[in-house]
Amino acid sequence: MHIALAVKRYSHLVLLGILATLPISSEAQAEESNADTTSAGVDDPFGGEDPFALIENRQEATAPESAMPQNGGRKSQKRVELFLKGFYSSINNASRINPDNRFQHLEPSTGMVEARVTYSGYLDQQETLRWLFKGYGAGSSYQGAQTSLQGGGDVPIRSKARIDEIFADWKGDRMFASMGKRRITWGHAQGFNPVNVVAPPRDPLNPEYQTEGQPLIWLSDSGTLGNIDLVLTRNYDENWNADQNRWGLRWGGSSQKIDYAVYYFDGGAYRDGRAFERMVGGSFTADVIPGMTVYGEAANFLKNARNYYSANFAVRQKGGRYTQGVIGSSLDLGSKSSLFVELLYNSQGYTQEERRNYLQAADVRLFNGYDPALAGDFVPLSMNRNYLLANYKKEFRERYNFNLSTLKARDGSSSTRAAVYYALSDYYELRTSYLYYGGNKDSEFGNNPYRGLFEIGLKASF
Amino acid sequence: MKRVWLFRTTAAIRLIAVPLAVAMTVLAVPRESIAGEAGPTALQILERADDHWDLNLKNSKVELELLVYRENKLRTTYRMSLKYQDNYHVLAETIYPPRNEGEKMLQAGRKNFWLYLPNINKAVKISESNSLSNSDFSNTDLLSPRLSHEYVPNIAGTEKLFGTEAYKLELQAKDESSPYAKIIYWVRKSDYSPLRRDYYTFSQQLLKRLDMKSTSRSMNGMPDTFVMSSVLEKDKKTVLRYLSYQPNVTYKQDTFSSDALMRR
Repeated sequence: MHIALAVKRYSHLVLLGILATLPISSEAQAEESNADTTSAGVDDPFGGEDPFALIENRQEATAPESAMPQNGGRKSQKRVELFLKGFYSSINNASRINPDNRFQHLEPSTGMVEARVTYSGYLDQQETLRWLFKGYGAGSSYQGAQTSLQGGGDVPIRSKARIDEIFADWKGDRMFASMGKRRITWGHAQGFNPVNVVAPPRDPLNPEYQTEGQPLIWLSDSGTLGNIDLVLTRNYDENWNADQNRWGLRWGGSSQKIDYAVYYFDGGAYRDGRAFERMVGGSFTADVIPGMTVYGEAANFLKNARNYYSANFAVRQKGGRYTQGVIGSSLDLGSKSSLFVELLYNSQGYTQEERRNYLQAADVRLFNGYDPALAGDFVPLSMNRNYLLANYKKEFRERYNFNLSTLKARDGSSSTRAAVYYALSDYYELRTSYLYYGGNKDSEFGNNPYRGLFEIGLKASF
Repeated sequence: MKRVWLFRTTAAIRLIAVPLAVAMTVLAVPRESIAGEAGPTALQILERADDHWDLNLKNSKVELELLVYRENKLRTTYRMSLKYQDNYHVLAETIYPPRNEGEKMLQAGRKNFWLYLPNINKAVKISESNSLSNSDFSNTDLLSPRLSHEYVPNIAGTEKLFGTEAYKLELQAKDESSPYAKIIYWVRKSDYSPLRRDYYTFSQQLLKRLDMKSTSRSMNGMPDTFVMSSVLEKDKKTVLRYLSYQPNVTYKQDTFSSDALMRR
């Protein structure tokens, strides 16, 4: 009995010892309460299914082996893109630079075929020496087909073939050298790039149209002081004729949150004695908060050789310097969507009065016939001094891409482009877009030769 | 006499019970909570798990495949070549499908991500939360495997996962610049191999889950198959598989600079 009493008296200590061996930590609780979290099921928001079941029977690669680069030196790469396009346009007969379509003779519907071929390869195992060829060919159903926003178009004649890029380059540990025709893009902004003066500028609403490069020699060095690029080129025309040298220098640096660059581009005087529009500029891009980037560009040009019109239709030049600047921001909106907004200032642009004078001059001088000099003064994105560009992109269900861009000018006119791309397969993509120009008869976009342009096309990539 | 015997018995029970209780209590306390014990700390577990992935990838070149599934059907396949110098310097290039060929994603620093678009020959700065090739992976999920730089770990227990004992870590973001507020991370006890991550938003919502496993001996036990599942869309998954692995690759100095993107 006393033994029993003693056991009872000290039983709490024994019990404490036994209890202590039971799981008191969350670690042990988890061990005991859940044999295997993969089979939890009830509380598992993923249903407790085996995540690898999807690929259990799929050990082979799902893309063609030809898509795989080879170890130790890549084999040559070929890429072919074919575009079949159809356009239906609404012609702006009220345009004061193409009244009643008298001069440009635009047709409401056009068919077009485009081909882009890229072929590149390395000459050594270490991938030091590379060559690249990029060709472009197009044919349209009528002469004068114009496909891009600013009335310029990439294919102003019935058929065209050209070499967009052809070059060889060498890459050392720090040094890089390239010779041939290639496209260089300067600047950090996404839509407008005032400092991008080496290659022809792009249409900010549809940048894919401009792919042609510039014959040049490009030397580069990357070190602790940043990246230095030297570009030597000449004033080549489309037949590769040239008589003046052009040269440019870019110095770029970066820190943890900001990338920046300064630019200089200069050249010999024009044949008629005018000085070249020497450019000095700078650009930057920086992370502000997660998902948000701000960027800016500014370029100052030595001499403004543009024509301005007085109230009595006389042509005069202002001379002097002019400046173009961009400030913008891009936002990651999540769910595979993004937005960027940019504001462009262009001091070379026309004021409201200068624009009115120009259009009144057009009314008078185009009354009796076409005047190419006057038509040439209708310079896209220079008929105003301020522009606002917004672009929204959204990808959904892996196959659809939606893109909406709108460009608003200071005069209240606007240009808006909506595009939807649908990937039929890994090789084919269906593309459709609509471009609309809005504005009154005194505005820039209100005088665009087109009012609207609907495009449908098929892109094949191999 | 009887009293003496009883006293001795009681004393004996006391002598046994007290040390037994103390010993059992001490034994039951988790090893890692005792200073100076041999058990790994949460940070050590995380570092070892990071090493599994990061150290093997350092100075390597891998080819990988992204399989995007919807409603359990393969919707899209991407194939990419990944040049990996270290945790903060990675260059990924899309090589399939042809319509995305040549697109490059560059990590040129801790939070410095760039996208190169070959059709307009332009590099633009992007957010680390951008999705990788329209998959369920964000840039940082794939390009920055070293979580110990961004998160503070705590041991939340151990569990059985895929039939094996695993540490369960709770990782809290060091600051709001991290892409996720919290990650629950399961790491295999036997070899610290990463098994699973649950990603939480700053509003404490479970966002997605990454399951990992190693299927190839040639990759030194590094996870080579990854399944990312979305909690918002149940039928949505992306599988990432390493197809080839080339260690000990030396890259040129400017390979991972944004300025170099336009050169090649």
